[in-house]
Amino acid sequence: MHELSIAKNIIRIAREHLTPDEEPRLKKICIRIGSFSTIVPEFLQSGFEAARDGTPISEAALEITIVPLQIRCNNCGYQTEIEPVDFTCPLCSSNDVDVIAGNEMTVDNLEISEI
Amino acid sequence: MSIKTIERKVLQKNDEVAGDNRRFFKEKGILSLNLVSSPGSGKTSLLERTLEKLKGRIKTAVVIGDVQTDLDARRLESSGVPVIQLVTNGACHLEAPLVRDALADIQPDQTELLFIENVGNLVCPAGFDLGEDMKVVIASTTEGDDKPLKYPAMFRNAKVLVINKTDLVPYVNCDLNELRNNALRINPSLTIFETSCTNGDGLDQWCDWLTKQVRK
Repeated sequence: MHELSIAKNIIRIAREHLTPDEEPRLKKICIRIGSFSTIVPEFLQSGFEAARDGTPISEAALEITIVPLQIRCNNCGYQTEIEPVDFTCPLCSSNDVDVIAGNEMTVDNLEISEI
Repeated sequence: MSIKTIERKVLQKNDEVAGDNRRFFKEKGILSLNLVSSPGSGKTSLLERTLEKLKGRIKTAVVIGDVQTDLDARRLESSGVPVIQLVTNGACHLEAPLVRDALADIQPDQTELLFIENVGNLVCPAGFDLGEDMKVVIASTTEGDDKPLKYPAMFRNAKVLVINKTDLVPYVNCDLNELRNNALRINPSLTIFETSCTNGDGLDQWCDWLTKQVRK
């Protein structure tokens, strides 16, 4: 349940990139969240709404793109999406795999309406 | 509509401070372990027994995170080891800046091994780098053998697994082989120890390994 502190970080980062006159015109914050990042998108969404209200960016919505968990096999080089409990290469069955995506937590861009 | 592309990591601030902590540990030659587990797995008991055994062998210090109270720090005080209590006031995990503040209270030249006892929680602490050398996850037999599958991020991000309360295996629904296999399925490179803080089983192996890591 650390989604609220993540939401506050997102709001801080967005505001650091906006001028005071841009803040009320912020319509959307687009973020990427890895499916292996221990974040529950629904909780992040409600945490964001609670933390946003009463700030100058109260018009902003949060758009969350989920990045699936992806591995690369160090034995055969195969790259694929996997379910979080199965860190095994589906091609060669090696379990020497690296996670190459799915841990992300990134603020990508901000959409601001024109005056 | 205008679009500003920023591509910033949400936890960049935490990660920057974690980087500072990591540099501090490296410069001072301190091995730092982030102990993570569910509440009640026996983290503090394991620490009590470990500090006892390492006394005179390795200079240790402890940073303890709890949501409230300094009960754990008081338990460990009798060990004679410096103990710094962090109270998160409700937060479910430690963050790097809190640990940095605690580092001001340790004597680096009197410390070879630092235990950072995280808040008991198998979810949130997985996401926050503290700058530690490695995460040690503690799973007790009373929690059952399926914990690694239910909390894969924590077991994937850890280097070491300590299976605690092995003396209770006859009384609880936990198959040790199954627990080991589940953990290795998530993370094949885990180093695994099995301990009982009640009868002392496995503590020597764990402490010998710690000593070896410090002397490396």
